[in-house]
Amino acid sequence: MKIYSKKAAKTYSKKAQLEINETILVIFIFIILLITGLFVFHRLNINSIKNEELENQRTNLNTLLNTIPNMPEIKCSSQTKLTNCVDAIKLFSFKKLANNNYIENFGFKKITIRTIYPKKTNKECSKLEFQNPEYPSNCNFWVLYDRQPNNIQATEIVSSPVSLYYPLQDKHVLALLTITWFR
Amino acid sequence: MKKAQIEIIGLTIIVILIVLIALFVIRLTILKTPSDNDVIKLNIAANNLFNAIIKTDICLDNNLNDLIMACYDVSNEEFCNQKPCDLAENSIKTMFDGLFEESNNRMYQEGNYKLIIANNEEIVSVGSCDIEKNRDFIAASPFHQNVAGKSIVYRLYLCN
Repeated sequence: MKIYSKKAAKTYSKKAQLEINETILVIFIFIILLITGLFVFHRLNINSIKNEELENQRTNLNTLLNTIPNMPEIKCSSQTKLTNCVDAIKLFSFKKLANNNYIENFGFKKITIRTIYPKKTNKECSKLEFQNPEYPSNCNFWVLYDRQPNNIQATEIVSSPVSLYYPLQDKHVLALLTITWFR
Repeated sequence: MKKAQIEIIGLTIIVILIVLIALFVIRLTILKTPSDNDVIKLNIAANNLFNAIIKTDICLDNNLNDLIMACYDVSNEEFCNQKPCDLAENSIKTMFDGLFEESNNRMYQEGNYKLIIANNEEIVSVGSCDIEKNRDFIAASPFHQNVAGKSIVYRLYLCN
């Protein structure tokens, strides 16, 4: 058995204490780094999930752009034969029903159809305009659906050209379907 | 190896690891690939636009397709006091201008679209998007029409 002098034993004890302190400090810093890392990872993960959700909602928005003109409620049809256009007369009925019956399908959105070519009077088309002998040149847009949240944080607008058909005049015009998404 | 050298090697490894992680994060955040949504949106727009344009009535009961046929026939028939080829081209331009005015979408600007109607030769060509130089474009499905045994092809390109 080795026997140390009093002075040597004191020196060794001090060194051991220093090493213990160093170890504690290293473990402390490691834990802080670990917690920070976990926190950053958690934040990144949540952000990535939110982005994924937003991207899915954008895909739905783009899908709506293609499904709305193809809805049987507004799509042109003649003796059960469907053609690739939107029937202007059907828009009046759809407009009347959409705000209360399509909440689950559309959510917080504004859906409009506006004629582009040829140019017409800038006025919303309603039953009153339809009954006017000047129709269809006396109005140029339909607000088909409009439901907005109380607190709008951001809006996104997508649009796509559609062929709008006036059955009474047997005329096709170029129109733009616009969907505004409120979130 | 001395203790100091070993510590320097350890420090270097930690620095390299931190740099690699930072590079990976930067790559993920900055270098985003174009989403599928943009491609889907452009594709829907191109096909809907083509379908809507071709059906639009231009002069009395004649739609754009009728004007193109008259233009192809090289007949002397006039539509609304204009030659069919000129009327077709002007109408297409007016339609795109109207779409740009309404939607503020730059793909409807003259330099960003091209509508070519041709058989062996060009019949009508509107818009100045250079599809040979610009690789980032979307094409609507080509539309073939048979006239007197010859096939006329309609092609619409939207440049990004």
